Amino acid sequence: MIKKTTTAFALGLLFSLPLAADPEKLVIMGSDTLGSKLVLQLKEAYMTLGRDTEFEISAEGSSQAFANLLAGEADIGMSSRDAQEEEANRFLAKGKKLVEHAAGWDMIAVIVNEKKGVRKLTLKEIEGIFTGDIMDWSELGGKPGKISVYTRNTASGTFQIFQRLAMGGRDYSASSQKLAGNEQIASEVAANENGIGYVGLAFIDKKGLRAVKVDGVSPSPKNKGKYPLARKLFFYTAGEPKGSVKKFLDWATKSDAAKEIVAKVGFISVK
Amino acid sequence: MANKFQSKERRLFGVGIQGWIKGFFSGNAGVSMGVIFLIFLFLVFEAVRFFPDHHRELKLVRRTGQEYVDFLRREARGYQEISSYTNQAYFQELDARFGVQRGLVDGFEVLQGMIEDGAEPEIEALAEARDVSDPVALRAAEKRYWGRVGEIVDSAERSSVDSFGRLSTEESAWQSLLQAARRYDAVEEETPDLILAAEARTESGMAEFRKAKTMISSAGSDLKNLRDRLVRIASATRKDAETDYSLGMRKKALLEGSGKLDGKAREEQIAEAEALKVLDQFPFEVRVQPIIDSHDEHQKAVEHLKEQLKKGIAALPTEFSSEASKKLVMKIREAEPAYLEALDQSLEEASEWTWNEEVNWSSSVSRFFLGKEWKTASGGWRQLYGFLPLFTGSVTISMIALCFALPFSIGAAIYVNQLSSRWERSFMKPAIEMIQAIPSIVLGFFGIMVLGNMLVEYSDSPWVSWLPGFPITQRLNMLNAGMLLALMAIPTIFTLCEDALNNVPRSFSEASLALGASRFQTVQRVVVPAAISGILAAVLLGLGRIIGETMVVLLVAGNRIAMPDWGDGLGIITQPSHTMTGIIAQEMGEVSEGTLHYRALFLIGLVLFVVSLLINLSAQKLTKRLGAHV
Amino acid sequence: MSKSFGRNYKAVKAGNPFDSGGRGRRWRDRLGTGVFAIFTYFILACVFLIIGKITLTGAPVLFQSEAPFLNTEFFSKSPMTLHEFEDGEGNNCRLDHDRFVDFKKNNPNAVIKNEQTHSNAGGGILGPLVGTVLLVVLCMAIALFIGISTAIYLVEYAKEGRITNTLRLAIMNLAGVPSIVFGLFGFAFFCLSPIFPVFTAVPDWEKSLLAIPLWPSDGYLSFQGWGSSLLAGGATLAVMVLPIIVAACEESLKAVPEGFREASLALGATKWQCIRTAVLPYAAPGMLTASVLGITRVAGETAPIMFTAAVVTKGKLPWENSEGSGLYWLSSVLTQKVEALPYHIYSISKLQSNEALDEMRYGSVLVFLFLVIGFAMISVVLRSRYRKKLKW
Repeated sequence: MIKKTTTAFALGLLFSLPLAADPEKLVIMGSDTLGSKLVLQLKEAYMTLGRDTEFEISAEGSSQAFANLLAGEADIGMSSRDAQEEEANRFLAKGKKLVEHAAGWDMIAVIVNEKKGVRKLTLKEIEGIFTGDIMDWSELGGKPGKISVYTRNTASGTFQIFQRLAMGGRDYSASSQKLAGNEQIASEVAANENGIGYVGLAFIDKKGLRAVKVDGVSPSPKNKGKYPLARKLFFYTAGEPKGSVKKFLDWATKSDAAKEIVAKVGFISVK
Repeated sequence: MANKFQSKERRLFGVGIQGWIKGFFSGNAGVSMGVIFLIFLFLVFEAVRFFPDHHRELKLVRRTGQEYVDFLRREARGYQEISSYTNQAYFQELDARFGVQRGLVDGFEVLQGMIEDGAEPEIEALAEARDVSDPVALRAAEKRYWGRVGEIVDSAERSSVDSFGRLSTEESAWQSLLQAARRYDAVEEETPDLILAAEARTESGMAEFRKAKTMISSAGSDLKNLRDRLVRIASATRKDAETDYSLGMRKKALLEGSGKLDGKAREEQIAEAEALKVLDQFPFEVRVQPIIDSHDEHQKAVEHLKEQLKKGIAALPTEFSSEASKKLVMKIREAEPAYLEALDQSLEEASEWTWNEEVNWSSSVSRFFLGKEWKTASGGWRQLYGFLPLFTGSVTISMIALCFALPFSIGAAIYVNQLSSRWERSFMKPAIEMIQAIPSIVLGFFGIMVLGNMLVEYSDSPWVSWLPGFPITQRLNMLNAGMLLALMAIPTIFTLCEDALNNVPRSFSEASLALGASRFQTVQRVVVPAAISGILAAVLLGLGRIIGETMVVLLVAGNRIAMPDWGDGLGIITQPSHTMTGIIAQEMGEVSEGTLHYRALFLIGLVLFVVSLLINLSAQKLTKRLGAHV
Repeated sequence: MSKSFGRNYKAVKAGNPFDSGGRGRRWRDRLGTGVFAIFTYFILACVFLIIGKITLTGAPVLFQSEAPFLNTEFFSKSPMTLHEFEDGEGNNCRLDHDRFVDFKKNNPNAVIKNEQTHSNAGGGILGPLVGTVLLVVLCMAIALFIGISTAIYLVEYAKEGRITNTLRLAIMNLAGVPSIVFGLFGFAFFCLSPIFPVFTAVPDWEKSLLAIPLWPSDGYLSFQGWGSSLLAGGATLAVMVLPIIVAACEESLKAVPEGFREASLALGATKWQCIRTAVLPYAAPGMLTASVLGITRVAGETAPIMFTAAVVTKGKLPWENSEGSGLYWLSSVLTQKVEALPYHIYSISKLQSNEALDEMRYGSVLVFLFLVIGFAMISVVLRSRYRKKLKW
């Protein structure tokens, strides 16, 4: 008897209410610079507004955004660099189009340990350090010590745009360490006297670190236009955004509340 | 009462219920079997396709001339190293001879920066007042400016200004530096005499060394310029070739897709496809010509480099005040002949290079397994999939871990099984086995939060600082990871070792004891030798566990994709490194399905799979041998 | 081995090989034993230190001095941003996002100075905890179903032969394969290959191999792969734990005496009745132990779920964001990504230290550690009780 009831119940559950619907959710993937702080707070604020939207956010690096947008796994890609030609080509080959939405401005700050006397570096020196031409702090006039170069992992947009802006497109030195996030670079540089690394503006405000002046300009929102390592941050979609994606992007890129969050986190909002 | 087991046999499709039940179970067994073999199949399927793709990539690298440019890049890299040593030697020597003067110059620079930052409004006001030349306003502005400068200089602490400690014992120099800073006019930006004098003194004192240094550091400029130019050319070729390829793919897809459509949509799609301009044959020959033509220039640049380098190195001083500098210069002198020879060889290879030579299939395999560089698709010059640094990293970490794990786990197994009291045994065995339950991510967390900091903090104490690779400066390194992995391997090795010791027949040890041997002697000479193959099997399985561990190495090993710096000898254990498991975990998220990078990661997965299989099989063989003995 | 014995044998001829002089020998024995004892205690000390450090730092987050003694918020909120700021009187305030919103709503004129935000340093671990539990339940459901059936087939039905031997060998060797390799496989197989169906209102036409419209509903059964989801993660973990389950279940089935089966078959039972009434009930405790052991193994794993199921942040719990009914509902829950506790720990252990975050980190690690070790202990207890009870 019990068996029959259970079977009937199970069958009923499976087939009696044939209402098909897919839940609404925004899958956001990509840059750690955006995703480990800014987008989390945008999400929280957006959900507090009472919008019934579910989010799935993962942030391993900008390349993740393009790979997953292409595969249809992500709705919105976060990127701290513009799309490479190669990536755009891949979208083209599939008959899709990448659409970019400006999320804000950022500066890549070069950070050193506070105990290190280095306060400013020229772009030339930075190129030398990150490509491995300069191997020891004594070459820059500092206390001798082998330089530990901390870079982001290869998926990162910061990794690539820094290569373009500061290293003349040259390869990173083989002895650079590839860490998975701005915060991890900040922690390691703060813990290692001979360390040097780079992070986005939102991550320089930490103990034990010093952001050096690059060519005499320090990274700070007020030096916008002067600081040489500035870059734009983007949201990307595959094709023009529609529905909930559009609603969220409009809010995140245009509303005052979102701009306030962008500024609070440490980035510079777009006009 | 009816028989409990009686049942009516119903049939469905000619098969009885029992048959269906059997079918159900065998079907499930089939599923598990299928899944197990699918793992292997999937890995092989994705991994093997790496090689043709890799071959195509290598071919492209040759056709675009990137391969040729790599000769120049390699030549320049070796030169950079010598140049870097020269710079280090120069500054070390400078420090030793003119430390105070340098301290003054650097310290002044810092103070200058502090003034410029801290007195920004005052400086602006002062500059404005001077422009207007209103004496009252000027006086007020000057007063404010000097007051502010005074405050700033007063607040400047020696440790933060002179962070290299050059002035720490030079009280008078420090005072005069502060004095100079107090009088510094940030509007005129005039460097005080004190600093100018210091600069002049260092300059004249180091003139000879500097001349040599300049000679060395300018020696490679031709080569570097040529390199940068060729890199640009080859990169552009490469990019265009890839775009052309993607367009071709798109065109093909559009034309194929148009077959399914009809009417107007079809025509539109065909028109769209026709509008794409795809080259039938990408003109590599034309594009690579400037690179081929540059060979003479290349030769000249190398000759120039050799000449200047020889001169420069000969001009390096022979007398030093600094020991470090002396060592560095010796290093340079030692490295010189080998480098010059390498230059010649590279030049010769470059002259034999041809752009349209076929790429060997075997090099598609050997460049993976023997390649020493791993550079992936993301930006940069070219993709390099060299597996060796990852493999070396994995093996080195495993060896470190085994070095720690072996004595402890085997020792503990022997102690618990043979020597301990019953009471000790009752809590030790479960406690050590419980380690197995600690998730690896927790250990990784511990490594990053606690152990790394501990290593850095305590490694420069005189007790341990003589160890190779100590004192440690970075908390993420192979030693840290190795120690944690050792802890993970200990329960595995311990349990299996203990089993092996248990399996030694009681009569062996009884005989030995009866002969008058002590407990310890029995263990040492009878029980352990008898269980040796079981112990070896345990060690192998422990190794398998270490080499396959992901989270600890991903978090703690430091993720540097390079061959260890063998020059440090045993000190390599404190260098950071990347591993086979770590690279998969780190890069899987960013790759698109079907790309070369994706397949390279699967190939590494396959290697891991095969390695673990081999380890397992040999462990089983060893245990079987043990069985035959006993 | 024979070599060493040969040597000893010769030594016996020459005199007692073990007799190396009274006093020296005793000292050497003591020294050797001491060294081994030190090794053993050192391992225990290390473990004690690690667990102790995590417990001591994490416990203050989990427990509090007043009733209910447990920090319920830690278990009832998901991770969120922490806002640190100074209010008008210069007090340093720390509020997680929920409270910060309330605070601003209740005091619209409040002064907020020097506001700093720390990601993942506020709230609790509800989301990751739920995700891990769901993953483990799903994984065990799949693994036990297939594993027990396979074991029954191997022990009760299959004739010993090449196939069973191959299967056993494969299972034995699979246990040593690194977990990241399972992750790779799961990603390629469950997430990407379009042989796995989902119930959906709008199929992903690009990926879908075949979409069957399900009349009378307006949805489809679409073969498009599971994507990175709860289901794919559970299945990947299930494949990983399958060897353990099969081996353990096989063992416990074999431990049931042959006489039981013979007796029931002699009474006229069919094969299935024999298995159901005479074998399974006695093998059940062993299988239970196996499954608890399996839980210990999968709950602690991070690598296999990294790219098959886990996501850094979600907004809601899986069932809170489900639509449709019946199979569509189930499908929409199971094809979501989840936060998982080990992955959460991985992503927060990379963040820069600050006081609030450290508390959260140690708290999460402590909960996770005790969860896994708790299951391990249960399995030990079960095993010993089972061994004591079942003696025939």
